[in-house]
Amino acid sequence: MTNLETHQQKTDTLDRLLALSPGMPTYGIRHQRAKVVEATQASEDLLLGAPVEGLSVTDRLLVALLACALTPSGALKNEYANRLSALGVSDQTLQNVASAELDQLNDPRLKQILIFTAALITDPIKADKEALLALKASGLTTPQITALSQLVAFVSYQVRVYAGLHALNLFHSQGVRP
Amino acid sequence: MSEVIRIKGFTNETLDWKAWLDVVNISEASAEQIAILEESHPKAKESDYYLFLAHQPEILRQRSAAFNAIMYAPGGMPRAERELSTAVVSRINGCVYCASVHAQRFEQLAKRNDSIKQVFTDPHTAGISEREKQIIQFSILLTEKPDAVTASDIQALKNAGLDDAEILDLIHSVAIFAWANRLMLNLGEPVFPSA
Repeated sequence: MTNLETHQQKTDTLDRLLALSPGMPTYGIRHQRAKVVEATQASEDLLLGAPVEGLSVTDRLLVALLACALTPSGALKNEYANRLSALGVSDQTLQNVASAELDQLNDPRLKQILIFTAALITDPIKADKEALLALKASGLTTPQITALSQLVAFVSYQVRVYAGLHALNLFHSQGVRP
Repeated sequence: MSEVIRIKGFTNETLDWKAWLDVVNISEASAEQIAILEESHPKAKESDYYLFLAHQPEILRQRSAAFNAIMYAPGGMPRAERELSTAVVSRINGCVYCASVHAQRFEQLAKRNDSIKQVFTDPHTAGISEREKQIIQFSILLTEKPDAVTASDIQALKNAGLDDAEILDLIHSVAIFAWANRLMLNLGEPVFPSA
């Protein structure tokens, strides 16, 4: 094991959620594409951790939570719900967002952001020009809309990398009878 | 292109793409934005798509790093098959622009277009070999029902001759087009060549 692998094992969200560690077949296969592993985690860190002017980490984690709830992706939904809880978001808000009961939300700007998120996850063709203009009308700037679109699209990617690796790991840990 | 394909609203013709909101004006772009555009795609500075994404340059940098590592890295699944899987995902998600680009790339790499015609007509029955059929079926499943993918789906790919490294590339190709299709669909629209 190299130092780089040790570092990634500690900080990589998908390795952590899948309980992948050096020596496991799925870990070894995944890390053969080291640039993909790095860019995936760096994207998550930028989209869900780093500051984005005008979009709080909490609002962005709520977007990720709704995206995972609608996909659905149980493991990543739980991950983002846990991060929101740690930031002090109430169980009621988590429940409302995770069940897509957006009418319960008081913040009209956040509500518009989550309506957009739901459309882009469940039926991307419906996230159209009108949906973008509705975001503009609710006060988002173009750079904020860029970050939001990248976030929803990234989570769509992340849940599928997770799902594929999860199946690959099941295959290697259990095998399948012919 | 040797032959123009137009099936069910999808095509292999070269399309343009227009952003719905304001893009970064290249003459006012920062040095960082220009550097990231140049490392993203050879024609990024003339592309509405990249000029829009340049509003958040660091996010674009990591997206491009992932995209280019998945689609162009040597070894693993042949590039033609990566292109085929992304054409399938784009067909399922209804992204006419992405489907056109990756239909062309498949044809350039595979020197044939039969599989693309099948994917545009009905992705669920497409594929000229058992290996292609399994790649396409897996691409559809991971796109539509990621939580339903399980070890038996990996077994089916193995039975069709894919090894672990190829399966990883397939997973990444399908996933990166969940990302790419959503940006292309929600930020602008394809522009068809004037008739």
